[in-house]
Amino acid sequence: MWPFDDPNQPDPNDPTGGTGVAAWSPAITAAYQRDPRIALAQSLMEQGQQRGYTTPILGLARALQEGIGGFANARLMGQYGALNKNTNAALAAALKGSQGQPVTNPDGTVSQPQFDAAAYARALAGSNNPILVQQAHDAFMQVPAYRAASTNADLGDMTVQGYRRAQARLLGAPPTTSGAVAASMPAPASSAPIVVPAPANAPAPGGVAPVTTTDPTGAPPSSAAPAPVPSTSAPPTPSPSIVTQALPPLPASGAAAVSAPGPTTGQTFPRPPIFPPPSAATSATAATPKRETAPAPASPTTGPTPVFDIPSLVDQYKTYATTPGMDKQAAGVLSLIEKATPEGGQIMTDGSIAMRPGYDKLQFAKAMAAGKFQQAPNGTWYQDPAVAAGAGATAGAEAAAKLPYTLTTARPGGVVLQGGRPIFQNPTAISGVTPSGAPTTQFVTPAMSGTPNVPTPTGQPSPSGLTGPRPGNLPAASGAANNAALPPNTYVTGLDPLTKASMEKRGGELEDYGSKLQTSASDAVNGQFLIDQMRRESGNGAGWVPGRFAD
Amino acid sequence: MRALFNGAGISSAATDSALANYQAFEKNSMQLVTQATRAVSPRAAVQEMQMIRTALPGSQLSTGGLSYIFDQLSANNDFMRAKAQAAETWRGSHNSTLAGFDSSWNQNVSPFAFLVKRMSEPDLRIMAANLQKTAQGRALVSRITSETQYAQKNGLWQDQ
Repeated sequence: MWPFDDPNQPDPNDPTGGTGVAAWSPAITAAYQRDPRIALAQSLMEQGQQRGYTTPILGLARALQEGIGGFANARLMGQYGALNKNTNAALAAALKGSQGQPVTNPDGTVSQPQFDAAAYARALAGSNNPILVQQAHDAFMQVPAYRAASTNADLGDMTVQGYRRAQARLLGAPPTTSGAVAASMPAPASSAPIVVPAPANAPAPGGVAPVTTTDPTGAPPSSAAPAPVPSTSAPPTPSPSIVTQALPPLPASGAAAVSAPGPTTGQTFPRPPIFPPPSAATSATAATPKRETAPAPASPTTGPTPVFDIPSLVDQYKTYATTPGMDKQAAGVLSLIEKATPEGGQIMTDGSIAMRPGYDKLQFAKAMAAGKFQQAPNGTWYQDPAVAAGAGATAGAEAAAKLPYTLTTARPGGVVLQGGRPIFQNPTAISGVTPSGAPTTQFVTPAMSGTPNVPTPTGQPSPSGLTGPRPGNLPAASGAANNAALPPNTYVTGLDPLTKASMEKRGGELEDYGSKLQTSASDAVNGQFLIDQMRRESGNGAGWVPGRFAD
Repeated sequence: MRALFNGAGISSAATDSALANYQAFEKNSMQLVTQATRAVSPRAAVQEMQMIRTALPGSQLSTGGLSYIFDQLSANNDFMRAKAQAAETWRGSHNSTLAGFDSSWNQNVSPFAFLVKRMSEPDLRIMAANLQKTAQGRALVSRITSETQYAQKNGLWQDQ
C-alpha cells in the first residue's frame, strides 16, 4: 500500500482480502490456523529472524529463509482470504436466491414470500464450497423430504467427500469418488492444493480428512453450465454463484427408491436430484412452505419489492439462528426486525405484524388521561369540569393582559382605539361653502371621548380635547368676512358664483370678439378690393383726372 | 355728358374709357359711402349720407389726396386681416381662448405699421424726414420701427 493512499480504503494487496484475519468466517479462520503449511511458513520466518549467525553466508541464508517463509505465508493468507470472500458471496447469493416474490392471492391480498429452505440448501450445495458443507447440510435438514430420507450414518462425515456420498446414497445413486469431487472443483492457481481440515465443531471421524477444495483465485463454481430451473411456483433468483438445475421428483414416501440419473463423470460435478417438485412435496408433508402452494403472482416483475420486508427478515433470522456460526448475522437481522416493527406491533410466526394485545386499550387510556377525561361508573367518559374552567380563566387572563396593547379601528369615523380608549381619529371631511359662495371641503378632527391628556400606554398624552376647528365653531359668514382667511385645513374646491359668472361672461365676450375679428377681416378684404378698384379707376391711364370733375 | 360728346362728334375710345372709369369710380365711391353710412345708422338721412360722402374718397379729391386716403384705408384693411389671423394663432397656443390677445396685440402693433407697408418709397422717405425734426416725431419713428419689426417677425405681412 502506498503510504499516501487513503487509509480508509481497503488495501488491494492485503492478502486477507482487505478484511483482516479476524473478520474471516470462523470456519475459514479455523482452517487457516490448522493449515500445516502456515506452521511451516511461520517456522521458516522464525528461523530466518534468528540472529547470531557467524558467517555472511549463514546470514544470507537466514534472510532468504525468512523471505521464503513470509512469501509463503502471504500467499496462503491471500488464498484463504479469497476463499472467505467466495464463501460470503456464495452465502449471500444463496440467501438472496431463497427469497421469493410476493404472491397475490385470489382475494386480492398479497402474501409475503416465504423463505425457501430447499432453494437455500440447493444454492449452498451448488456452490461447491467446502466451508459451506455444514451449513448446506443443516439447510437440507430443514427440508422435511430430505430429512426423512437421510440417516444418521449419512450425517456422520461432514467432509465434502462424506457429504457427497451421503447425498448420493440418499438419492440411490452410486457414491462419487474423491476424484470426481476433485474434478468438480475449480483448478487451483498453483499446483499446490490447499488442504482444508474439517471445521472444529464438525464431527470428523478418523481425524482430519484433507480434501481438495476450491482455489480461492479460481473460477467461481457458477462457471458450469446452469441447468433449467424446475418449474416451481416461485423459483429462486439465479445468481452468478448459484447453480440451479432440474431435479427429478422425490417419492412422497421419502424412500431411497428414487429414479434419479446417476452422477455424471467428467469436469462437472454430479448434482443428483434432491428435492421433489412442489406438488409432490405438498402431498408428502404438511410442513411444506406456503409459497410453494400459493398461486403465482400475476406479474412479479411489476413494481418494486421491499428490500427488508419483515416476513423475509423473519425467515432469515430463523435460518441464521439455527445455523452454527451465524450468530452475528442473526443478531443483525434481529436488529432490522426490531427496527421495522412499528410501535405497539409484534411479529407473528408467519412474519406478519399484529397489534400487541392490549396496546390499543393502553393508548386509549393514555390519551384520555392526557385530556383529563374520567370514566363514569356507567362507562361513559367525561372531562373534569375544572379543566374547562381553568382553560377559560387562562384565555380570559391572556385577553385581558393583551387588551391595553391592542389597537382596533372603529367604523365609521376611523377611530383608533387602544384598549377600548380612542387615541386617534382620521380627519373627517366636511363639505361647505365660503362666505362668497365657493364650495369648500374642511378636514376636521372631531372631539373624542375619554379623559383628556391622560398618558397612553405609549407614554404620549391623549390627543383628545385638542383645540381646533370643529363642526359648529366655524367662523360665521358675514359681509365683512368675504375676504377673511379660511379656517385651517379648509380647501376651496370650486369657484364662487360671482367669479364663475364673471369668467363665463368674459369667455362669451371673448368668443364674440373673435367672431367680430373674423367678420371685420372679411369686410376688410371686401373693402380692400373696392379700394383697389377705385385706385385702378383713378390712377394713371384711367382717362380722367381726379378733382377735375369735382362739384 | 356722353350724349353731348357724341352729338358734338368728339367722342373717341379714349374718352369712352375715361368716362367709364369715372363712372365706375363714382359707383364704387358710393359703395364706400353706403357701407360707412350703414355703419353709422341703418336709417341715415340724405344729409348724413352727403356728409359721409364728403368724408370719403371721391372724384372731387386730387390724385395725391386719393393716394393718401387709399393707402390709409388699405392699411386699415390689412390691419384687420392681420389681427384676425393673429387671433386664431393666439387661440391655438392659449387654451383655445382669446383672453389676453387684444391687450397683447394693441401693445405691439397698430395700423401705422401696415400704413408704412402701403406707403410709396418717396412718401415714406418724406414722412421719415419730417418726423425726425421733432422729439415727438422721433418717438413715432421709433414706435413705427418696433411695430414693423413685430409685424415682420410674426408674419403679418405675408398676404400683402
